[in-house]
Amino acid sequence: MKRKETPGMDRLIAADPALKVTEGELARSRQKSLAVMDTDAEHITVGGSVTDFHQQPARRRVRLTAGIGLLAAAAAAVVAGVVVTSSMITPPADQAAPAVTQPDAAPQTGSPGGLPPVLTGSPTPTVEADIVTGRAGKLAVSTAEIDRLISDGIHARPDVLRVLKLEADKDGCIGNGFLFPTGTKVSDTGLVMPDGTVFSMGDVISFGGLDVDSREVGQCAEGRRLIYMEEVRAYSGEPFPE
Amino acid sequence: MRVQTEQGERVESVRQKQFLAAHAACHDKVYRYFRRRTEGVSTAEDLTAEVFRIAWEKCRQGQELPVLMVFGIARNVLRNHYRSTIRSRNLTQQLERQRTADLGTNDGVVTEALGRLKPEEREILLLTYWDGFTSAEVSDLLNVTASAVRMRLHRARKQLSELLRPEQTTEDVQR
Repeated sequence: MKRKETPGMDRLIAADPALKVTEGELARSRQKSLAVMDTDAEHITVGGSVTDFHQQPARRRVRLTAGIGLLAAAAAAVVAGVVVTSSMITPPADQAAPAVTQPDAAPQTGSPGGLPPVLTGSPTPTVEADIVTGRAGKLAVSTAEIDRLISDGIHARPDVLRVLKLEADKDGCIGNGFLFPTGTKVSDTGLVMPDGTVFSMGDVISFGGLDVDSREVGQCAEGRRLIYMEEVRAYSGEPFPE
Repeated sequence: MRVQTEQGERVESVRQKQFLAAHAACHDKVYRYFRRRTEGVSTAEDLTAEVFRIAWEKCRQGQELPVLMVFGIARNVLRNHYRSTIRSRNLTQQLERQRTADLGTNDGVVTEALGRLKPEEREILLLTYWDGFTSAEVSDLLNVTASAVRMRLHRARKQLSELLRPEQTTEDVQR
């Protein structure tokens, strides 16, 4: 080669420290550098992941916004989206009075047109619930429960309704609330979903994929009919009946 | 759902193929690159692993990984390594000279001569004679023109030859 003809270049090549590299060294390094394939862990740097930082800064902001929105939605659910099973002493049939939907069709077929999307592939049947608002002062939500919900992937399906366990401050009753999608507006008379669908108090709506293991209603169930999630009805902001 | 899973598996498979191809083509060269420029086996291993971790992330974005891109990553990783070791440019150069001296080449005179070259000329010389890159590749890698690479290489060769000449002459006389 022409470049080797320059005086001293042979000595330079002979002085290459990498000539001492052994096959064992290479094998060890190969193994180590291939190990990155065994994990999907994302490298975190100051300001976000390497990918986000260099390639998709906007997406990172959207995620942050979505997270804040979810927290806001959770707060909204605590404030307004409440269904208390333990307070249902009136038989469900008396309370049904559907104003918009067909109650007979809801349990098996999921949400009728205009209702929020139903979780598909759920192990539990679609259930019905009335919308109730205005009971915020009666209920408190477990922080741990919100954390679990959020960490368990509520962010993965922000477009569906989620159930949220709530703990009543009175008598220690356990009820269920519904966590509504980000962007849901809550008023004294009902809810306006992000897609514009309006639910008013007294409307019966269908939920899919709810946790029906809600039979532990504590002392509130004593002497009362046990009401499962499939039969959920709720009061529209009236005081707890004695 | 199933469609999404199959699609995801296909994407993952493509990603793995791209990565393994780049790894097979570049690993040994990258490892040697670091061994020539850093202070030990473990550092070279760590930096090589870092290069391929970044490469793995780039594969996720669907990027192909030609050799020069991998070496571009390696150069940045090395630069970060230098930066994290010392902070000022003067100290960096001092360390590079010291590091070169610590490499333990059999030819201490060559090492000393390399230390007396300008850093940019020395780098081109080493990329050419140790790492085996052509002038065009060095040009791409360092983001300088090919004519600048050739000029610096010419100067570096000439200076190194001059620096080594007295030693050669002495050896010849001794024989």
